[in-house]
Amino acid sequence: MRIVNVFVGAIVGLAFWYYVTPLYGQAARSLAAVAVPALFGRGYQLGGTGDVLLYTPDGLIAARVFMRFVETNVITLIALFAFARRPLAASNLGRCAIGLALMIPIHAAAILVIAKSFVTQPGSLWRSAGQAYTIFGSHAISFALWSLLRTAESAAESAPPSPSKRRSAAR
Amino acid sequence: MNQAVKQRLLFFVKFVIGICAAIAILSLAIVDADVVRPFSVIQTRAAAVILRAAHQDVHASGTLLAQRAYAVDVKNGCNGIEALALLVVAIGAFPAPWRARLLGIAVGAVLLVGVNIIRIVSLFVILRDYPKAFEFSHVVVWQVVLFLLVVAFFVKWSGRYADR
Repeated sequence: MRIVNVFVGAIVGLAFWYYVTPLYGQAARSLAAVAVPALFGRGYQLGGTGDVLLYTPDGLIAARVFMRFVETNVITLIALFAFARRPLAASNLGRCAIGLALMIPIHAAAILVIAKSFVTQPGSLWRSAGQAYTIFGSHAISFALWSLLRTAESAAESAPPSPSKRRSAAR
Repeated sequence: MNQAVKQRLLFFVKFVIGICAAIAILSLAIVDADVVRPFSVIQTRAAAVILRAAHQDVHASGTLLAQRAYAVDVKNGCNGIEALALLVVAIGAFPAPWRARLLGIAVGAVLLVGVNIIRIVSLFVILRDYPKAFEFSHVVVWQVVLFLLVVAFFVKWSGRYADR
């Protein structure tokens, strides 16, 4: 049954990735743009409408980041949250929303790492990191995020009740 | 903080450290030449055997699977080694007996390699017959399927040892 949930979650995730991420990718792009001068030098800037382009101070394209592929981990994140015993419970949906919100700075960081990997030598740490993110790291991040948010849920469930709850339970 | 939460946090920390270590190891030139490439070559040959069994006139040369004007190159990211690394790290980080971990990794590896060979075969056919769908199938569909397979296997395996 939970396998069916994951399958449905993957379909929902695919729809989210296709229809929503282009809009929400704007937030990641804006966040990444803030760090561009510090990471690449003055005069460098991000542009492009769909994919992210890194422009040199001379206006040449130094890197092209395919946003569609940066954002595929939202599909797996949504599918993972569908794995819960009660996937439509408010707490699960809330944690999924938190996970999707946390993906914005992660995608911003991914844009910078991938762009940097284009302008550095092969074998450099940036190259390896960019390649790792594109190949499988993005999904490993969604797994880590899901695992962390589940831990937070367990911690909340196992926390002792507040004094007001204890009073009402005693009545 | 109770014991279960502590264990989950410890799992998370071990998982993150393990993934960073796996990425570093897989990016070493010697590992790429002596482990990753032979791993890709074996899978390319296996995919060629399956396609030939289906009466497809294909030939495998190194990591290249070709038929007339069509060819796929099984590069890093297409050989499933990253998915396998993810599974190894997740199982390694989980508190379970070593024997169970080794068995989980062995069974998971066979499953993942088998599915990845099917992936190579399917991508070859998609490239030849539906080239417009290749990129989407390659980067989105199969990556997600392989990842969810890793997670499903891990959750099933870890369920046997959770809370013991």
